[in-house]
Amino acid sequence: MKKFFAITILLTIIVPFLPATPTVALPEYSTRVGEPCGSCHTSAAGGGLRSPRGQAWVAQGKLNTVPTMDESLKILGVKVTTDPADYIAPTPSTTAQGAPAPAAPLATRYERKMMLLMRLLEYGGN
Amino acid sequence: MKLSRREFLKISAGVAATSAALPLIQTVQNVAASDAAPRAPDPSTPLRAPARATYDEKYLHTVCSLCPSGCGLEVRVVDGRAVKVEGNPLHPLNQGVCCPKGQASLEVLYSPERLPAPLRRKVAKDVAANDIAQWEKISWDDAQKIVADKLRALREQGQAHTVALLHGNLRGQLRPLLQRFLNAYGSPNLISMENDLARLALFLTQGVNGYPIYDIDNARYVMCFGGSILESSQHLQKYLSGYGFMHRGQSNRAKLVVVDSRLNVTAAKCDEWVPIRPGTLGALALGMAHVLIKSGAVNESFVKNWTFGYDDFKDDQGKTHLGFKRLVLEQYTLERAQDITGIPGSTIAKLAGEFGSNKPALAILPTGRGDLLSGNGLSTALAISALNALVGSIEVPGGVQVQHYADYAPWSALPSDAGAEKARAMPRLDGAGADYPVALSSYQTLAENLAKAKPYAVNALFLLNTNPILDAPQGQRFVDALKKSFVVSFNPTLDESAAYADLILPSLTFFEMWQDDVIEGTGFAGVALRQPVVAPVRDGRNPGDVILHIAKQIGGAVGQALPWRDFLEVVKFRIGALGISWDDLVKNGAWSALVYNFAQPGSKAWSKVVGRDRVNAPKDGRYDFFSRELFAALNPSDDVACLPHFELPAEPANAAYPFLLTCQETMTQPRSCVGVVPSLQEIYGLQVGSRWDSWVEIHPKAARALGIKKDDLVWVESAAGKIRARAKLVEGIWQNAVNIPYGQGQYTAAQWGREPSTAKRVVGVNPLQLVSTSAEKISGLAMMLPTRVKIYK
Repeated sequence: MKKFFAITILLTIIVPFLPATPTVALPEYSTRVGEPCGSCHTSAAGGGLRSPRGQAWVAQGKLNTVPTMDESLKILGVKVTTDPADYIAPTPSTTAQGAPAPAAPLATRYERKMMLLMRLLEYGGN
Repeated sequence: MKLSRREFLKISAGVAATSAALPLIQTVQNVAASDAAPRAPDPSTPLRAPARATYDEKYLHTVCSLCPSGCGLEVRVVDGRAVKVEGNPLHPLNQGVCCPKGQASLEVLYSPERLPAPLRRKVAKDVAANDIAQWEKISWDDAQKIVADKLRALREQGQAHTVALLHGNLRGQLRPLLQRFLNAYGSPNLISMENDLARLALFLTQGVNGYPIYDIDNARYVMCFGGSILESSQHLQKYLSGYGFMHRGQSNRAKLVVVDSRLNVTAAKCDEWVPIRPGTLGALALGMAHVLIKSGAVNESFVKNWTFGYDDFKDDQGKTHLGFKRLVLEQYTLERAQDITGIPGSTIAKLAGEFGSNKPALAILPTGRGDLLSGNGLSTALAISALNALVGSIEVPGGVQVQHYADYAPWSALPSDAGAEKARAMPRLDGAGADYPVALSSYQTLAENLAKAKPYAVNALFLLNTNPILDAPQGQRFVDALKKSFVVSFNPTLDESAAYADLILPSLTFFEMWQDDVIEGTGFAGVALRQPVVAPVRDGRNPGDVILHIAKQIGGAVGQALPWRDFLEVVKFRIGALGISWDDLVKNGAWSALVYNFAQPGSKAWSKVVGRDRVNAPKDGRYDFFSRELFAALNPSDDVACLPHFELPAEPANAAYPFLLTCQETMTQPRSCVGVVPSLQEIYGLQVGSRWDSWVEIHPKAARALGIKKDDLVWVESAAGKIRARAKLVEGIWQNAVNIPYGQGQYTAAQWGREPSTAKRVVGVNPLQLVSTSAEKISGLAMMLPTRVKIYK
């Protein structure tokens, strides 16, 4: 009986300190930071591309918290210079600015084809 | 130790009770830990274990340049040696993943094929000097002086325009730097070998000079017209992750349809593969447009308010012009589309119905090498693009996006130089801008033009990131051209074209030099950085540094135009205007704006996504079904020239050559100028069980008729020549089409651990030896595929 108690007590002390895989359903990172997968990934289900917050979290070395959006942009060196209003069309009821301009008349400028080539060569990408 | 049965049961019960209590204990531990530890960032919990003191371990970032995607890489460097490559998790395009090319890229860095130093030819020009013994090592100072003296002399003789630079894919600031160098020097001949058709189509319709970006992540219905976006495309990693998202990341799974003559990797992974007769994609797009228009499935509001040339219209002279709607309704009936494409009319109608009713829907243009080069490539690209406009999938989530670029510091004006201005105005060697009115380049015409000194003789030709003898249609024609000119190759290996050079100035790899990269494929602006993660393995140099050094030696206006000490200074100057921390950029390897804002039609930002770069057409925010840019450039007698339409491929049916040859690039194909990459050759033809070789895919029915069995060596012959490869019988190919992978047939100087008896010096065969060298009459692009061939044993 002594042997039984000794072994049981020993196991009770040792086993909790042995490395064990958590038995919860959430993936490791979500458990650690306490946020859903969609905080860091563009997909709500997780995996795949990361959102700006997810990218900043990786840049910080995958710590225990996910930076806020403002913090994330700071960490990643992003300065938001665009005005969201620039991307929204004015409603025609308030202003005529959003209405499409009439199509300009068709014109031939055959002599300007070298100018066209020069513009195409100004390609800004790789 | 002996246990009685009773003791064993007791111990088992105790262990079971302890195990049951374990999660509770761990939860208590976690709660205690979370209560005790602050939620603030904790630098003591890094992902990786700290480096051991016994060796110097670093993780540094650079950018791959083995394909046009430009993925960020994270390189593990131990004691100054790069030992492992993974994707850079902070690069917005690939976010930590990379394809087999990236994984194998250290073989490019440590390749035994890399040349040791600058080399000067010792033997006569009329032989291919593909043995290193035929070259002598010279110093960089001497090599650069030879080039600078040659260029200075030509410029002084009024022959600056006779200098040309032929290039493959260029990255970051190297492109504008080379353009600036040649502009200042006085040459119009910066000639690209890139496949720019999708870019041209976006410019002629939407007025934006860039590649279309397809937001497949958020599309409901994606239709790929040719090519294999998951294997070889301009923004490969974007589409690989987007494909995962559209199939898995959304609650309502999107549908992917691939139309191609071959069951390529993308087709094998899609929801529906639609086989089509090679070279007829445009007719399918127009047949679908017919159904969309007839059934009223077009986005009337977008088409009416934000497009041009949908309906017939009158010009300022009162003349009526043909609109897209009437053209399509009259000429591209389902029956005609069926006859041309070989796809049943019911299937075309079904595809159009799905495309019109699943919003947002996307029609995708291929951007791989060898795609859409059928002679009707430009009109085909316009027709496919028109589908997106018809359903209003322009600048909406799940639609066509525009790639925005960072606001780099502007270049200063070039110093005044009348001689250079006059020389720059000379016609280009490839006819771009003259023979081909809206061409970006027409490199395949160059071989004949150089050999015949048409329109003038070339006195100096530079080759950068390209190997035209391998990469151009019937590239052997370049041999004569290279023999007649003073040729300088920047390539790091002694490839087929470098073997005819006078001088080789080997470039460093992307692991050894400073260079920026424009992040593309994300839509939002971004910059990535290549940096020397290891010391140079060979005595090479950054081509940007070499150009700056030569400019300085030429002096005068050329030296003034390029005052920077080295290429790193150029990069810092251009990026400096972005207001980002250089140290962060070096550490993270990339910076980007992170968010793509969609501009609504009529908003202030709309002008940045429609009409932005137009030259001769108005910037009125309208998508052109009738391309006003084409009208201005062509002054055509027939309106059809400015509208999406279908033209039969130039090569007519010919009973002597009953098969149509197509060539598709595999994911394992890097740029040829880096030489052979052994790991990629080991998996080159994974799907057909072929490695270190090429193969011909043939339909089993055709093979049976010809008496060809699997793995037979067969000849594939066109009017231009013949090559021999092993036959692979595949059901997934159009019955009279054959496919040979693009990019093999390359000479290698190394054994690569192969058995001497089987190690061929030329790996596989090059299908480009068989194709046409003709140029498409408007865009100047190569009209090389499909090519008519015959097959025999």
